[in-house]
Amino acid sequence: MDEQELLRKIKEGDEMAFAALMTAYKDRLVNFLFHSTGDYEKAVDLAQETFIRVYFRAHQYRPIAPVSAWIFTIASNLAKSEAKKRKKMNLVSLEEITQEVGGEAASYDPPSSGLTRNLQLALEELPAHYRIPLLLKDIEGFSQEEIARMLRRPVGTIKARISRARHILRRRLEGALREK
Amino acid sequence: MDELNLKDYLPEVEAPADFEKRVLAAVAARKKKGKSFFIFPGLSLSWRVAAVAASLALLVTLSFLVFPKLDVFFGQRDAGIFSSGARPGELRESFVTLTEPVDFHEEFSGLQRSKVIYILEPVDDRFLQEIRY
Repeated sequence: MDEQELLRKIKEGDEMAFAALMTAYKDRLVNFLFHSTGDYEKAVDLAQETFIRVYFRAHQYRPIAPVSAWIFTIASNLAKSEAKKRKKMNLVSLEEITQEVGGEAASYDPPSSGLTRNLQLALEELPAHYRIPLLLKDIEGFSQEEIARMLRRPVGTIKARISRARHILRRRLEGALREK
Repeated sequence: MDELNLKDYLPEVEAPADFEKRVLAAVAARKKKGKSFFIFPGLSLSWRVAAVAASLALLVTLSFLVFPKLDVFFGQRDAGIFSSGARPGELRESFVTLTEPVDFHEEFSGLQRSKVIYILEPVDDRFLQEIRY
């Protein structure tokens, strides 16, 4: 079924259509939010909140943009809010806590070393306004123009932020890349 | 970094198996929570609070404009005493309590029954308005 049609049915309260939309996007969303927050459980929570908002705000959707862009706009806003909250509260990720207390981590086993781990750590250290556009571009494959519309920033700003994010990552990963 | 594609190096994670069930349960719970949560649908919580506050402020302003003489906010205490048409708040500010030292000795000296006590008080506000200082 066409996504626009799915959303029209969700507006009418059709939970089957809502479940179908979730099935189509849940993995992409959790993956994007996981790399945005660095915390699997938080990513699942935020993905759930994203879909709850999609359900209750379906009437706000205008078919001028793809459904995927609208869903990822909501998810990006939630990821930004989460980053602000963490910055304020100086939180430690659940993953780190479970590792420290020897408990069972969620359903994701982080790589202990290597480029992947270094890349994840470098990403986590990137400010959210660099990290989110970069992930939307590299992981989700949105164009810079689409990202600009999603994040309500000029295209030039988005280009600059993605370029700056790559530059920061490159600097931080120089050592790891040389090893590889 | 151009040669390094993040997608090739970052691990892919998936949503838990019961994801849809959890979301549908959360949606049902929010629906149950009542319609009050969905006042001004589409707005975030902070905007909803602001909208409710603005509505209350508008209500208060309108009640002053539409019902200026109903004394909704000052109560009825002053309403019966003053009849000059001014607002109760203004009257309260301009009113000064005065004690009139009137010597009624002569008026009562001729009375025979000395044990009767007369308590005198103005019963008509016109009396107060006629006093000039």
